[in-house]
Amino acid sequence: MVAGYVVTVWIVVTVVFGLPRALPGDPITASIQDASAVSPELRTMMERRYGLDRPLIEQYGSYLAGLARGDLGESISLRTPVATALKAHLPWTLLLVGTSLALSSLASFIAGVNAAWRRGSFDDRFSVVTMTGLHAIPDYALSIILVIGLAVTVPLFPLGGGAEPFTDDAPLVSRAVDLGYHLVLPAAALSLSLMATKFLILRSAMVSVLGSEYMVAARAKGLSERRLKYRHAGRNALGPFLNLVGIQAGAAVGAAIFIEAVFDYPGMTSLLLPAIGQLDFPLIDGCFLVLALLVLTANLVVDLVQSRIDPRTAG
Amino acid sequence: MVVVILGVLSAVVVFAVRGAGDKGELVAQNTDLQTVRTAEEAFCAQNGRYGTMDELVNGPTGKLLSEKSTMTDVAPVPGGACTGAGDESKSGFITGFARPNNSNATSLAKLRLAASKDMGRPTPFAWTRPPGYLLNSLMFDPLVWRDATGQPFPWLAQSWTNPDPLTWEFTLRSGVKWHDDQPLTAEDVAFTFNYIKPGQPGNATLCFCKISFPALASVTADPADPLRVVFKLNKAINTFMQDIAQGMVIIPKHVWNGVADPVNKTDASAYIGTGPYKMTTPADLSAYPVTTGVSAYDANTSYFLGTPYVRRLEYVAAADALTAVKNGAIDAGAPSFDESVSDTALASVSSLPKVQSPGGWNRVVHFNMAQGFPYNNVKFRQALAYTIDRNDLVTRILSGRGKAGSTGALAPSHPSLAPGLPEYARDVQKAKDLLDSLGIVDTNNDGKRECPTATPCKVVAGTPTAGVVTESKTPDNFIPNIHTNPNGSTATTDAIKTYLDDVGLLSAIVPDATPPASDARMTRANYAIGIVGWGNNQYDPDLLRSRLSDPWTSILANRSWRTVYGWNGTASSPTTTPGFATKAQEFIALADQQQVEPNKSVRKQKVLRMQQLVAEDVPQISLYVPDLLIYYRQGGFSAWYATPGGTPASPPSYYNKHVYVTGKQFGLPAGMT
Repeated sequence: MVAGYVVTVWIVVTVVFGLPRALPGDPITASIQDASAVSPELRTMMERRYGLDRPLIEQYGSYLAGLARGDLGESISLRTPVATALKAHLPWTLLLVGTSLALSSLASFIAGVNAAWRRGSFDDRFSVVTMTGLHAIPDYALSIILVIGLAVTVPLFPLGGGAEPFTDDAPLVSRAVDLGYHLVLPAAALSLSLMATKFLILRSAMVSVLGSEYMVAARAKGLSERRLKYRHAGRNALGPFLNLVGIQAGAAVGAAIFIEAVFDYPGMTSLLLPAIGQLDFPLIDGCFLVLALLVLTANLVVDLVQSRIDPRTAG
Repeated sequence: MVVVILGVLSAVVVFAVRGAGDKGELVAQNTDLQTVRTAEEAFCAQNGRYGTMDELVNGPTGKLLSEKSTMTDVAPVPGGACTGAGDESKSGFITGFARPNNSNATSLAKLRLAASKDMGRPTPFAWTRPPGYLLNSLMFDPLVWRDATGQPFPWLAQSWTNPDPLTWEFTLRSGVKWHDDQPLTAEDVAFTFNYIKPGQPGNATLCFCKISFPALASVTADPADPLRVVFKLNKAINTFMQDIAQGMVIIPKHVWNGVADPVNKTDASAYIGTGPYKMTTPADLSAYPVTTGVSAYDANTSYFLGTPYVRRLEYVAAADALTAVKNGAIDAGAPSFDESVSDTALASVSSLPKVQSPGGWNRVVHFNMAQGFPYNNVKFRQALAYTIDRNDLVTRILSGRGKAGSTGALAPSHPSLAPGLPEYARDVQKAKDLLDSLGIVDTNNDGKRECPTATPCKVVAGTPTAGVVTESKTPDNFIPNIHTNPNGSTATTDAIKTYLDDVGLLSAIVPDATPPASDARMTRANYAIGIVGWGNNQYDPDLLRSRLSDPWTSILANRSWRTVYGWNGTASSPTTTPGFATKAQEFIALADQQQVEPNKSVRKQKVLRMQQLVAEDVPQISLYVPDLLIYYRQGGFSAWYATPGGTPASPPSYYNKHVYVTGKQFGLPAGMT
């Protein structure tokens, strides 16, 4: 499993290095609005500084060597180490994605178990219709709906941002509350967009489980409904659900890019989008690499959890 | 319960009354402004010029105002014509609110504005775009500045003289200090310009001054006077004040001397200027958040003009500036000058007060004549000018908020705009006739035009960095590629395509993958027809030279005049346009002459002729120039103005630091000298 993980990382690193450089244009022109103002001396100096004057294969070699040392290089547009830029923005994305994955998983698990338990009831049909509807709405559209509804029309929540600025001196508790307050809408948008698929998968798995003989046996033993529902049926329906959580880690990161843009949330989007626009190769490499590693790690964790819950999947 | 209800009701009443008060104050200001304007018109009717506030109260024509206005200032422009109130961009006086909304207040605690993300780091060498320069200018000062009159205005320099055409002598204000309490001296000024000249590390700056550097011979501090600095030119350029004196902020020698890589200097000392504000957030200035631009600036209480009127400026994240103003998240917000602001978005903020001013940026079609036929033929370019309906674009794309571009390339609001230029009003038949005369006709009756066999048309394709030119031969349809920026207006490009369809010219809109790719295509000239958006066409009319004939700046989006004709006077590319060489020669000669012509009226004649040549030869078609807009909170700070001719070293913008320093639209308040 680990060897496969390493090979995957190497492929990711190579693709992440190659793709931005295949884009037309050059970072020096891109980092400056009035390209005519770039004198030949400045261009030469900047190309040398960022190693852009060397053959691509050499650049790749020094990139790999840098990675081995834990050096992600220096951003051309920000003029700071890529690691420093990531340190400032990655925690926001982790907070948003982590919160949303956790919330959506919990909510869809409870909703899915209960909908399947009452299959055919009004609650079940209502849940299925609602979730199917949610599934059909793109995450950015959901974000805009939430902004218009709860930040503009009824201004209950802030329009955007991750926290009230200039409050570094405020007490920790009020800063934490403020963080949560700014997180509500983006996390709601991401959670809602992630919930639907998990709900539908879990409900389906749960329906299969409920027809199993061991459920009949468990029911015959006189176990409580709660115990039957969650410990026996719910747990056994978790397999496909957990797989989906792993897969959704990638989807969640992708969706977060759009949602962060709508809410002006200071996560990886605010780093990645300008980096692409300005062809900031080291920064693009760094962002994609970290995001890819995040997704790979999430999948690894899910695999490990899965094998613990269901030993048949181990190995 | 009763107490709660009463509490809620009282809160509602308090807010309502406060709102009424705010509105009342705004009405009072506007009434006062109109009164002053009327008095100015009356004064002008009798005296042939506009008067000062003193003259309006105690002037030669009697008491036109009973007392000096405390809400409105006036600034008569010397020699300004009486053109009537309401058109002050061209008139001889400017009015403005004095200390808006709180005429007796001496300060405003805070202004909160939208952070701009795309502007680099606001040090003198690492800002990348105009908003970055404006932010940099909060902490650094040039020698002179501009207010709402658009005229050069003493800033770090107390005064200046021009003893001979090649010499400018500046005397600095005394007692000016850097943020680290070191005194500003003429040595700093001389160091600044010597540090940024070609071959020196500071040449990395993107300052607008570089455009006039070839004319700068030396800058020296007077050894006998620590406040006197002398600029020697090798050419008496008319743009010295705009490009050199306003174009570069002065940097401290004791910080930058010996710095070999100024662009990458990011520590706190890179922000030490003489400016009215000091960056206070982030606390660690080296951690300035380039990606969000969220930052705060507190007034420099030791500023040489006194403590700035606005005591603190905060730049916060705002995904949509207009909504943020409406919700009170920021105090004022200017939507992009592009056409991307929808009527719906503007309708949603219609209750907010706003300032609307003529713009300088334009969206423009450029022809790369060097690609050959038919782009190098004036009839082809004129045919396109006749088929593109620029007034229709203003209506459709800008919803009327702007003007059709001038065929002479300057902004429609430019004081040197040539009258009576060929307008190329939409005339489909004339466009068809011109194409017919070139042999670009429909030979196979499919409704679309083909190129003549003898002179096949060129089609430019390929990547931005490696263009491919092919020939379109009969009976193939001639389908020119129109290259655009991916962030450009699709509504505009679609409209252009439709106009061309109307005369039987099929065309293909080709947006590049990214804005940098588009920039690369333009700078490498891998296009034949390009639609780009750029420029401050309100600058000194020397912009005609710099944009259309300067060997350095015209590489972007201009393959015309000198590029086609050749820098050394020899045609570098074949052209089939009769008389092109003559016109190019005349344009280049005029461009060089007007740059140094000392007589204003003679210079203006040359500038008018240059516009005439541009309009006749159509190297570009300026499509439209959107107005500038800023919305601000009801009852909030309202002295906003778009600097005529552009904020120093950047396009017109409402975010001129003069307004934060003084709280006024022009001049310095009493106590600031």
